[in-house]
Amino acid sequence: MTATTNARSGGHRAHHRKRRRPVGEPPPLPREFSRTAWILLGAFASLTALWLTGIHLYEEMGIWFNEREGAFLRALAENRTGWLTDAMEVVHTVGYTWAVPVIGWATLILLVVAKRFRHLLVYFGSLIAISALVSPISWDVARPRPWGLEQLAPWAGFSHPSLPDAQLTAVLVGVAYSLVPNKAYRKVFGLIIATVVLLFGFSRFYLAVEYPTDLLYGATIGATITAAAFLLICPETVFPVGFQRGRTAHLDLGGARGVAIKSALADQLGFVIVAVEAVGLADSAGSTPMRLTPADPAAVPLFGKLYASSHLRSDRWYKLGRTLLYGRLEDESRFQNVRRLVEREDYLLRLMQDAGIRSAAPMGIATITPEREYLIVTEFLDNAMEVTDADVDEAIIDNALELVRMLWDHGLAHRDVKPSNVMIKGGQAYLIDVAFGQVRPSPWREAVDLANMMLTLALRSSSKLVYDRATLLFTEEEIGEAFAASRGITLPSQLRKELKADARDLADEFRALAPPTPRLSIQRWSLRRIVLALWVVLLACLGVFFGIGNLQGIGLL
Amino acid sequence: MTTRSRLVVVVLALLLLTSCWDSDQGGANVPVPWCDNWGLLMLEAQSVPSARLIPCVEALPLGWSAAPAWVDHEGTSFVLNSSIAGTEAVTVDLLELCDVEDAVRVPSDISGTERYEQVEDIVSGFSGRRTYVFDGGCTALRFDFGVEAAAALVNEVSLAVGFVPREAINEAVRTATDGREQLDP
Repeated sequence: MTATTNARSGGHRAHHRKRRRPVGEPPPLPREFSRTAWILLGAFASLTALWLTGIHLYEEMGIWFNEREGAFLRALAENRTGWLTDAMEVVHTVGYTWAVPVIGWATLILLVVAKRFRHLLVYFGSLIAISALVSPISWDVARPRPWGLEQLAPWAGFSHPSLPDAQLTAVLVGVAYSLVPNKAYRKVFGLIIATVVLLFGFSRFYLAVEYPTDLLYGATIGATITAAAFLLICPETVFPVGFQRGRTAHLDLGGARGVAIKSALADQLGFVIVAVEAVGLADSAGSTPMRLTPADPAAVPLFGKLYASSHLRSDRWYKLGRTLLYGRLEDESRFQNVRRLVEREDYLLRLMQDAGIRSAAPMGIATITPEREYLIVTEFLDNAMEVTDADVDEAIIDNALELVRMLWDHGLAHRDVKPSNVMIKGGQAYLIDVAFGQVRPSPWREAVDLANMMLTLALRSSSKLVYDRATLLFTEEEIGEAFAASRGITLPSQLRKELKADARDLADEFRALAPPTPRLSIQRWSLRRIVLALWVVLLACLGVFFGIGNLQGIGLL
Repeated sequence: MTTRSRLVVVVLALLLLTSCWDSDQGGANVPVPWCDNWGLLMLEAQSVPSARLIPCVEALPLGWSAAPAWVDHEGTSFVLNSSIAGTEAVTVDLLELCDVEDAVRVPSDISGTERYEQVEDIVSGFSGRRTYVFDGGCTALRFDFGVEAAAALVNEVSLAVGFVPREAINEAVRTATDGREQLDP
């Protein structure tokens, strides 16, 4: 390893010899291939095909099972006792009538509260899929209730496979995958599921409502379909289940991912990192930011932002919501993949550096999982603070407004100017988090950048002071234009919150200081927006209609 | 589109399609109870363990169709639709007890049963009830015709709905198992 001085970062960093990953070698964090899910589904499909084929080809097979299992049930019936019968009736009532709707609804509500909508969709969808699968199979097998025995508990339809067992297993397995936070707890919960399902099943044998293979097949369907759905659509590494406070966009930096980050930084960028710790999570929604501590104590730390598919999805949902509410803002097409998102941010960082606009110096991009997770590395602005934590005097105001002037002069827009993105270090203002930046923006976008910067600075000073300093770099007409365009959605949510908490109406104060300027509309109507809105309403209605229509079918009513 | 996205789209499409499946609580939907569907007849017989006769669909006259049945521990129910009389023109229920208090007893066309008739409305079409009472149970046919010409349509229903003796179903189980099993305890 050699130590080199990096002119940009102004410090030292330890160099590790970079290493190209040869063809065939797995990446730092291999893509989670849900082998388990496919094996489960494959085994289930094969066994189902074999079973149904056997029953159809060999009628004797069905009769053989009926007789053997019937003998077992008769033995149970002949040895019934009063107290055990009462107990089994209670167990059956709880499992048949209450367990599925109570557990199902509780889970759905918890998932809504936790904003785990993907898990909610998979949970609900699994129940529908199971109900839809059991019906045609049961019609095909057409197995009546146990012969020669009186059924002592409620039942409905053919007995094979057992729909109540399938539904009970499904709601419990769904809880395991959507609400139980880690694998260790899940194993324990798995034992609980098995116990509950077996107990319920035993009550149904005891009360002569179904045969043992009805339970076996029903529970297998419930467990397999639900588990496979969660493993395929909500893999743990991308959609972790946890109850810590924080945005769902933030990925866990420990475990395999932490090791992968260190290895990727060493091999691809030559940085030897000993610690990876999350920073600034509260104000970041589109990535997982982190501080990277080098092995060399003399070296300056680095800043990293991890982007993954989940961030891409958040970006898409955010843009969809904004399109529906306000129309698509200029150049708001979504990123096709994570790589493009990261490439763009790196490009904008380099543009800003070339233009002399103070921002964190880019250090490169590392692949964590190809096409799924990338880490963009920049210098860490050590000892920097957010502008609203600094003593905002004239010098800082001038410095920060100068950044906006430079953006305008170089045909750039930041598009996310807010307190957490304006850092002060050594009396100088820096713009960070340029992921939303734009080249050759519209005049409207440039105006919004100016307004947001002035509002940010005014939070810790005064509108009069900021206005007066701004007139040294911008015309009064330009400032008037900035505040004519600025309201609501044009303000980043952090800035909006801070302005709301401030007793002053800073935006109005600026409008009063600037020349009167007609309000600029931010509503943009287009055929696309109308069609999109109609589609969303239609899909929502269909979803509600079919969802409610199926609540009884899946046991939630 | 990634593989996972395609998978999500396919799953959503399947969910929407499968949600059209009219699956009732507890899988109570069973196929049309034809009189030669012995598996379903056994299940119907188990729904009213004491019923001596089990209703089923014998044959469908022109213009009639039958819908899947509902079978549970309380009885069996299925409907017949008519291109003339409308959907759910006839509902057939197998029950342990039937209310014939306001009905009039008439000679029965089914051996071993008592037949009761009750007319409810003849102004806007025809609605009424025919109940067959037999040992251990009863079968109620509710007519709801949106048109006139009720007499001809009721006659057609008589052709559509048949009865299988419980003993025949029991015998079917014994035959299939060489006498080792039977339907009833």
